Amino acid sequence: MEWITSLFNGTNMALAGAAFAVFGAGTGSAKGVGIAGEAAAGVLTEDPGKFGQTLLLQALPGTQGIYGLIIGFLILIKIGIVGGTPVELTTIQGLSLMVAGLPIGVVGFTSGIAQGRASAACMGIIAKRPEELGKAMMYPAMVETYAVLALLASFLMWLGIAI
Amino acid sequence: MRNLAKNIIKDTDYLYASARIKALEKNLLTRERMERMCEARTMEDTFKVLTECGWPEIPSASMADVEQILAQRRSETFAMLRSLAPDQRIPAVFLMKYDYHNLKTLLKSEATGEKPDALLIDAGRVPLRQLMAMLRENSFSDMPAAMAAVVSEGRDLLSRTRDPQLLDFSLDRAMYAEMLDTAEAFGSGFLTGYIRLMIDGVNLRSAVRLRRMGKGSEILRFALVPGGNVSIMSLMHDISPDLIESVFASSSLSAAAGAGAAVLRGEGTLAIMDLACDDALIRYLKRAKYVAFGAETLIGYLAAQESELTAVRIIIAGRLAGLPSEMIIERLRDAYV
Repeated sequence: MEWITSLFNGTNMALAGAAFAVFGAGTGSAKGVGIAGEAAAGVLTEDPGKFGQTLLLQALPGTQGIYGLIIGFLILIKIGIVGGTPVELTTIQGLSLMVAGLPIGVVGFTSGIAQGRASAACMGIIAKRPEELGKAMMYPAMVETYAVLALLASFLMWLGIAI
Repeated sequence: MRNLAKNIIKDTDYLYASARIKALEKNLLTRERMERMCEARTMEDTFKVLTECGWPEIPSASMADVEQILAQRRSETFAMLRSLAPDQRIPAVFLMKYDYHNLKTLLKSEATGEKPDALLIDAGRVPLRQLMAMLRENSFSDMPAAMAAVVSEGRDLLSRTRDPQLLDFSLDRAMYAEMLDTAEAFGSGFLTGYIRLMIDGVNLRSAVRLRRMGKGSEILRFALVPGGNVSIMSLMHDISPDLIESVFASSSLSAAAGAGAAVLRGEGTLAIMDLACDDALIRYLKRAKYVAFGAETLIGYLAAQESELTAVRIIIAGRLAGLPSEMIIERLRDAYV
């Protein structure tokens, strides 16, 4: 039973929260950027002059990974793993920090993929009407709203957890 | 469960192919470009529209050169689609008609002893030389199974009846069955729907043509192809204009059926009905333009390319024959883009 107590101690729980934020959002972004990249390669094969426009669209789903890293980093700072001395956490404190990593971890994963699909679909606009880049960027950019909201939720939780 | 999993088409498998196709679609002939080709002052201006769309230069204004360029375009399109398609069944469905056309021509030539060279099209799944060798040596192990299965039936039919039309009906039925089986095994509802609509069009044309030629219901039963949206049972009666209109009333071919009924009433022409059938197919295919990525994009593009080749042939042949531009435009099918 002792190993269970040490496994689920506060610090490990908080580390799991940081890992989940980075892993979930990072995987979402990796998949999203990959999806958009495949479509971008298709457009570029026929029209290499559209590199700039397609790169912009491909980059859009990349932000979730950054948001996940920010939350992960903030959790690590709070528990003293980065930039200080490690703090002894209660299980409840660790659990709270783990929960704080959930919004950006989950929403970062789903919105990264969704944004990648929207970006890939908008590559079709760039293929046919490159002058409409501004409008084409709006559709995938709308998905970003929810990643930002999740980042905000995770940040507010992190801010409110006293240790 | 494993078979079911195999049939799931993931649209993300088509990301690269679909985006590349979208980039290529802007080079397809629009209705406006086709009309410009018809109305151009000289043949050079007509050809210029094609070169603007990425076509190679046509060396001279002769039908032989044009046919050579059309064959080259067709072979390039299929080669590209074969390299792009994650599943080879998509191009295969579109290549089957060349295989069956060659098979029909070669079987008829066997029966009559006439040289078939001018009619053969070396564009199918089975290279022409190989197909000829298979028939000569009666060795069908490398032939697609569905085709091999109808060779002896076709030979037998031709030797018994000496009627090449019956061979056409028999092989068409086998071809559409293979197309439908392939589309269903592939698992794309869009491709299956396209084949079903093609079958409906074939059945409508057969019913109207055979009735117009005064042929009986026995030959119509032989000509009708099962597998369409409209049950062939409903056409196995005495064909009348009213029957044609009512059977196809709720289908996408209602306008074509109206044109077919008009033919039977002596008010229209078969060309108008054929055009309406082809337009219904293009209308169906246009749904693919609104799919961002997936197998539909490839299917729509392949069909659009074939329709474009037909349009170019109609325009150039019409212009070489000295037809007025309005008459050529009338004969053009709706454009995919």
